[in-house]
Amino acid sequence: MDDDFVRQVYEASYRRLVGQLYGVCRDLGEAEDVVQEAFAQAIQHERKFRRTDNPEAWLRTVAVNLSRSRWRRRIVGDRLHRRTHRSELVEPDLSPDHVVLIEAMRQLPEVQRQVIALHHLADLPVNEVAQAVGAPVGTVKARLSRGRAALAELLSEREEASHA
Amino acid sequence: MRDLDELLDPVVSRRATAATHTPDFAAIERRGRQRRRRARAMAAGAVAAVAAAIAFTGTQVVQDSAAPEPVGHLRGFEGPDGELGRAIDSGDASVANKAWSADGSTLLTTWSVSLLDPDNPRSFAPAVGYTIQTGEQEGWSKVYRNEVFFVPSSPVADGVFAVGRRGELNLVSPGGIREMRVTKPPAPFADLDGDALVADWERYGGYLLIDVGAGHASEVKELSDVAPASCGTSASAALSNDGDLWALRHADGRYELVRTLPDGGSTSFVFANQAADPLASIIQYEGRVGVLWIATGGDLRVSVPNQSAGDVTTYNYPDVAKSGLTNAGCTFDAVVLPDGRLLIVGPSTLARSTDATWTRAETYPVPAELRKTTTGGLGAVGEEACAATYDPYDSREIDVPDPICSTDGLRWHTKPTAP
Repeated sequence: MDDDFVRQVYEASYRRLVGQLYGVCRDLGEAEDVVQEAFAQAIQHERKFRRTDNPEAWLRTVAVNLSRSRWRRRIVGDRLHRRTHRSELVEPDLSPDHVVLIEAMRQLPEVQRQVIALHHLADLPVNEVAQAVGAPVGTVKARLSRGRAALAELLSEREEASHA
Repeated sequence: MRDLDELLDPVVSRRATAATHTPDFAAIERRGRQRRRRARAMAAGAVAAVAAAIAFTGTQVVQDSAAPEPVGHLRGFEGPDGELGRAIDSGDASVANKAWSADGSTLLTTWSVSLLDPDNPRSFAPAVGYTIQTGEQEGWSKVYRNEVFFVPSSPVADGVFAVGRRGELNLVSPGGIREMRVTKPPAPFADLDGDALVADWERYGGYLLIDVGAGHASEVKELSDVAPASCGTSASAALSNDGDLWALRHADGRYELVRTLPDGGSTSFVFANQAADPLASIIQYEGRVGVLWIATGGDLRVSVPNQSAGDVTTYNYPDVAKSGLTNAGCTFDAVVLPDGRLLIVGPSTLARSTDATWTRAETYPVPAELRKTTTGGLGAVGEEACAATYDPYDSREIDVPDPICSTDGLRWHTKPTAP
């Protein structure tokens, strides 16, 4: 049995995937959890994984699916165990404005937060976002538009509150 | 506060990437490989459970005449107040089969339900249903009338079962019920993806390769002429951990194990020229595959292909399978323990290999817990080997006991199924 292929992808893509999932999960530790789980699934289904055209896109799709609520609940049970295998957590070095942005994104509906995080924060093209979230490109564009509007409103409310 | 366009900047991901260190791959690798091993081992055991149940229930074969229904549709479960929940509460349902998922997280219980026949209020109509339980959550299926038997339950992945009934084959998990699309005609193995093999003798006459993610079940061309196993944990086909397909064939007086690679290439390993009993079963552990078979004279043999040399090494496990049948009505029942040791349970003798090479074995009397339990096959559940239980006579009166499990094959304990 040879998991070298998965290992190579792991070494090349792990950190980048965690960075991309950070905005989706809103938490670096959780992003690590879902990305690690995606790699475990790649090993479990190695044959299928080897046949994918774009292994990183496959992992991203799995990780996004895992980040959804019902899976997150399942992961929580293993979290204590897995924390021992997690890299030492250091919060990203973000500007205060970006910290506020991430806070505001937590209030967005999940489907809007996913596409904004993947398109704007992870810099993925819309078609790759569509693949990752399993939605048509048009749907992703609509979610982006609605999400940005909602986010602008949330940030505006925060700013008004801070001035008050 | 900066403008939103300025804030929505990839710098966020880049900084998250910069704050991340790549942890050791070994723990993740171990998790994935362990899960793969458990799923495959349990699937192999479950296949036999299906075959054994069919042999005992003697149920009529249900013809697949129904047109396929829309696929991929997620349907929820009913609650405790549904028809099945009420039948269980009122004592009109009895447990026919209990099976754990490969990771031990989920229990699927099949129920025989006695309902008054609406066309003849003085008689009972046969009906079935199932419940799924994970943690403290439980789901109740509908009650399916006039169905005495369906493929009881075949764990195909962590927390996921393949459950067949008349006209459909479903993936059942705590998340819901998903109907699988069964593709015909049989496709070459090289063209298919799959997580597990399950047996559906009634509708398809053999093995189906299940792709859990895609919700597909496919007949496999290379298995078209593979005779179904008939008893206990017998598996006449298996997926190895590294994705190869293994199948038992008998032709021209020779018994051979055929390995098909993901690219379609195949190799045959002849393990016997003549066997007294055609019953043979494939076993595997961490990519190592073997076949258990009965030689002339009744001795049980374990043959292991040497994949690089192209030959087969055979070990003798005498006196295990010579005296009658096991509780499941089989010559033997077998499972690979979590540490790789091979456990073979005969009617009165149990053989356990001394290590994961399977070259030598020690024998013991069959433990009392195993003798008194009617098992539907042994399989790996979590870090244990478990014997699924079922009602061999479909009595509709007595609940089957909880499954029993063991880590070493000698000491068995009941694995409680109550929430």
